[in-house]
Amino acid sequence: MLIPALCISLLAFVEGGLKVGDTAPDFKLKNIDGKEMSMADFGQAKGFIVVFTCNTCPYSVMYEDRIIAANKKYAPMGYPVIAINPNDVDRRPGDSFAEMKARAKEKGFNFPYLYDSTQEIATAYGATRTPHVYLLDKARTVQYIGAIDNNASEASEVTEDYLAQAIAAMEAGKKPDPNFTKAVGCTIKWKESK
Amino acid sequence: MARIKALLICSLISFGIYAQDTIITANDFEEIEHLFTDETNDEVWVINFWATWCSPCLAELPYFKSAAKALNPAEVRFIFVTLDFKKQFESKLKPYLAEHPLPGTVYNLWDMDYNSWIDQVSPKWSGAIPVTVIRKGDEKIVLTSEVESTEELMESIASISQ
Repeated sequence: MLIPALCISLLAFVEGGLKVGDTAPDFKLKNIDGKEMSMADFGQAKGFIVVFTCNTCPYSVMYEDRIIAANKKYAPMGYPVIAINPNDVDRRPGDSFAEMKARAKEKGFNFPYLYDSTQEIATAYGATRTPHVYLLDKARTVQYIGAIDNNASEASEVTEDYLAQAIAAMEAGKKPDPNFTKAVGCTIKWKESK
Repeated sequence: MARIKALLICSLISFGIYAQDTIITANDFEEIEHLFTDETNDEVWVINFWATWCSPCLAELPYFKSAAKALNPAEVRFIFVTLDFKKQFESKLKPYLAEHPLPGTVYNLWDMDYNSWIDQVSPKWSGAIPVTVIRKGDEKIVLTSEVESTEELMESIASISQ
């Protein structure tokens, strides 16, 4: 029982999570509608915009409207957004499953919002902050890791639309450039080590 | 004499005796780049990145205050870089600092083009805050997770000031 979890943790520790070019593992996580969801459920997808995010991080909140807009634009093109909350509920009660449902309803999230209650997926991906984007292609190969764009506070002052540029590159059959960016964000609230 | 005077002023500032009315604002990372590139410092610099909206950051600040009290300001200098936004300078940052003065120079960095400067702080830093850089000359350590006690912080500082 413990071995698969241990292997995932060990792998993430050794490898430091996913890098561009790696194959991202699929997951089976509970969505806010109560049903479990996997990437395999999306038969026709050309790729996935996996975003580690949460309710309580001000940076995540600042990006909510932009994540909704991204799903509206890219899901019909074959790149659905899948948001995953990895935060430990004991450390962040505001990131509980019930609060996730409430926030999604309040903001009108048009994308699945999954709960990584064991933090195994955030660990396997190597996510370190919220929000943290992993853009995958159809084969779940990582094409881009990083920020959505280069201005968290003012969407109108964005000069580098990293995610949009990466998807445009994929659509043109090219490799995204940049394929990795860093951004200020909130630490993921990991469970206290036992 | 001038040196003693300067030292006195510095220690008054670093002990937060003056209300924190000196917040140095920077539009571009370039303006504070020297904090990370100047290798001539013979005192230890403890540079903490925080923000008023970041609760784990606020939770660890008391440890920095106690460490600053316990350490000689001529040997260890505390520097606080807040990432509070420009639009919240008057409404949030100033009131917070008026109530909770910090034992060192406070910079408010407004450079939103994060990817352009995070690696200059440290390639080891992903961008999540809080983060603390402790450096002297060309020695540098980066604390990428929250500081959980004064002792832990003092040990990290001591590991570089030997």
